[in-house]
Amino acid sequence: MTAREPTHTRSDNSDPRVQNPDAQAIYEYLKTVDQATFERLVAKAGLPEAQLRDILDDLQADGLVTVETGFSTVTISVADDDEHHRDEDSVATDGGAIHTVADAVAGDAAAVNLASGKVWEILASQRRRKTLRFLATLYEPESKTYIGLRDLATALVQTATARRHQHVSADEYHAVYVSLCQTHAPLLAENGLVRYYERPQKVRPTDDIVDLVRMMGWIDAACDRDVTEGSA
Amino acid sequence: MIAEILDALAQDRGPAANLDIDLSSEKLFEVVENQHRREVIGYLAAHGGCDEEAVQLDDLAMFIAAVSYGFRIGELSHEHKWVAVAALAQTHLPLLDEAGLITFDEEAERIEPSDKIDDVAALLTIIAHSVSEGEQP
Repeated sequence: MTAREPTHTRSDNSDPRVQNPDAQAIYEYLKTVDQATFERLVAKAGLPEAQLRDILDDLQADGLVTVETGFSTVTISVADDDEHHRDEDSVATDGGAIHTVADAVAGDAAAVNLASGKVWEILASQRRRKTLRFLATLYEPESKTYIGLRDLATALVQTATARRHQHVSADEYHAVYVSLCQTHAPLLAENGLVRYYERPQKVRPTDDIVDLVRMMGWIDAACDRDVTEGSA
Repeated sequence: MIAEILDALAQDRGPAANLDIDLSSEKLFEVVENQHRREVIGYLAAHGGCDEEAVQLDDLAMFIAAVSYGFRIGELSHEHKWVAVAALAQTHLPLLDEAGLITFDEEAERIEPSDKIDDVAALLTIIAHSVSEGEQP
């Protein structure tokens, strides 16, 4: 926990409940933008992540900010003005969905449940990467949502051609469908990324797919951004 | 919905945020798909940075042969080495050269890593550390 600084550095319009000057600066910044991702705050504050996490935990404990864990990002927002004076105990009013920043950010380090050699093998195919990205968008925790391989093939072909305003040719669709049945669905199932129901030809994304797609995001971010396929 | 999630994913730059790999992700995935190429990248990044940056094909082949057969370098036969030399010279090194990660001088049998290789090696390490089953990149 960051040691709290004496209060003499506060500016006049500062919130008396924020005592650390770094925390003050971050809170002021959040008030101007309303909400920001953790990564954005790291970049903006220029502080080590651990220190920023401590500061945000303090701000959250004081009820000044709220922290939400999204699909792949941690968003920090300024708590509503009306609620500024509520007690610490009442912060988690939405049924405990608010986590501490430390918990939320620790999710970033979630290990992908595969050997790294497997990760590279799985990600080597562009069609498989597209399939993974698409399936990750269907993922809901503890949901039984599944998608038929025909629908999946249609969706993949459509996203591939949508920008070109072309009709999907039957051949193109068929090639995608066959590769899903014969190659991608079995391989993804073998590696625990989907449950594959062979007879009805349906797949359901598992928890692991989210971690892998998040990892793909890191790789895309490290690569040349002008030509990154993730934005396609 | 999809666009939002892709945006969210794009913002999540993760532990590789400081890396600047001068390759399309398409090319990167192609390069690092093969385990021997991943080994070569790790080897060259580890052996670069000294005065003598270039690596001889022979030395690299010995390393790759040792990795693939699980032998110590002293226990390798010529045959083991030549299999590795052939795979490196015909497939892996030309591909790494084309991606701009190395310069491969076939005549002199010399490999010179470019400065792009360090970030790719770093990414391999990051991913290897972010998977549950620890494995060398």
